[in-house]
Amino acid sequence: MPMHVTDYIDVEQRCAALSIPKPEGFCILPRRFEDAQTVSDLRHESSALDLKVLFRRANLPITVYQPDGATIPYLQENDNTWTGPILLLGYAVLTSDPNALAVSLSIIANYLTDFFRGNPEPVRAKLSFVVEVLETETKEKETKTGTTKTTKVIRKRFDFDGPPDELPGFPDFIKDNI
Amino acid sequence: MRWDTADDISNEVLDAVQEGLRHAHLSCGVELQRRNVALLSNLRDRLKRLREDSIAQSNEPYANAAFRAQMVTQATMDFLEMWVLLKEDKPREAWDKLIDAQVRFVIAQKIQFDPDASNLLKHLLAVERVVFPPQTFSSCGYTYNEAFCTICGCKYGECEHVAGHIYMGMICQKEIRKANLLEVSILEDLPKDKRCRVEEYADTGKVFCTLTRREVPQQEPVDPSQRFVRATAIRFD
Repeated sequence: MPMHVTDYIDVEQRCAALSIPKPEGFCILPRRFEDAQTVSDLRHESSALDLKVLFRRANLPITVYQPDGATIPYLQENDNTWTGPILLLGYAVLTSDPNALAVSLSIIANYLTDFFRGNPEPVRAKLSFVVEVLETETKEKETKTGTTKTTKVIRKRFDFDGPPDELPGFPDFIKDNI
Repeated sequence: MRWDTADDISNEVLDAVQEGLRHAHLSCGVELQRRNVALLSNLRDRLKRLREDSIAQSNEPYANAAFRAQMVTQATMDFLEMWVLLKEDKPREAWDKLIDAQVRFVIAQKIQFDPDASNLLKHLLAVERVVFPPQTFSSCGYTYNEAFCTICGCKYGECEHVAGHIYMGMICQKEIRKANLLEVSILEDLPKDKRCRVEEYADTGKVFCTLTRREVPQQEPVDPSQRFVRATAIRFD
């Protein structure tokens, strides 16, 4: 199974630790965002720029995260794997456009079909989505109303690493695990 | 031959490619292979001019078709040259020609998919595995702050062109003017460019060519623990 899901860190806290502003909207996070010691450890995948154009052309603008005052460079690796970036889909984005996830994956799947067209070797693609969801907790509290409900934003990271022809199953995998 | 219609071009390219491929076998006469290389070279130059004319006239379907025909013609020529170079005992150059042929057929497939070309690509892969010893590949990783679009010259990501796509008979690429090399590595997997490979390896203090297995004389002694001596990590075309 080329897909798996894990809990993801608090993006806001992580940005505070790196002294950089929180990314807004639909955006591409750099590699090593989770464990970088400083901003200079961060690298964007070279494919981030390709996706930026493709998403803009599909009227789904995406930002390649660049904090003010620093430039996160792009990393080009030259093996046969297409390494996609980490795409952060904020709660607000998904609320205003519930199809954003499905549309994004469709754009990427179409692009990869073109990208690998004609290649006679086995091919591989890697890609991650971080999705923010609202989690509601009901707590028994001794109040006049009895119980209280609290909501908090949690994040899940969905990774795909496998043959690109299995990518169409990724949206359902994400939907089933949110 | 004069081209009056698109069919004229298509027929001439198909005939030349089929004739070239008929001679693209080890046992075929080297003089016949060289003659076909010369014929294909002439055709490729005419197609290149046609593509340039089509670009000048902003005729995108014709420019793309000419580009595809140019790639198929050049790839067939590369494949024939591979056999010629092997017979001339130039295995490094022969390997590069085979990889060039594969890359050009893949570009042609991106413009217009053809099942025959797909089978030919599988054949080229089989030739790679049967004619040459298994190769170990190398690669390098580098960073860059900005790239430029080779189609329009804009900062890449700001225009509407996408690297790897074909526009008006040209392939879009990211032009990186300044890069910082991070690492050179030996790959377990396949590289992006199969011309990047270990070319010489060491065994018990002696150095050998990875293609011929011949010993490569050294002026300095080689550390017996060393395995890889020389590799290409990046190629600029």
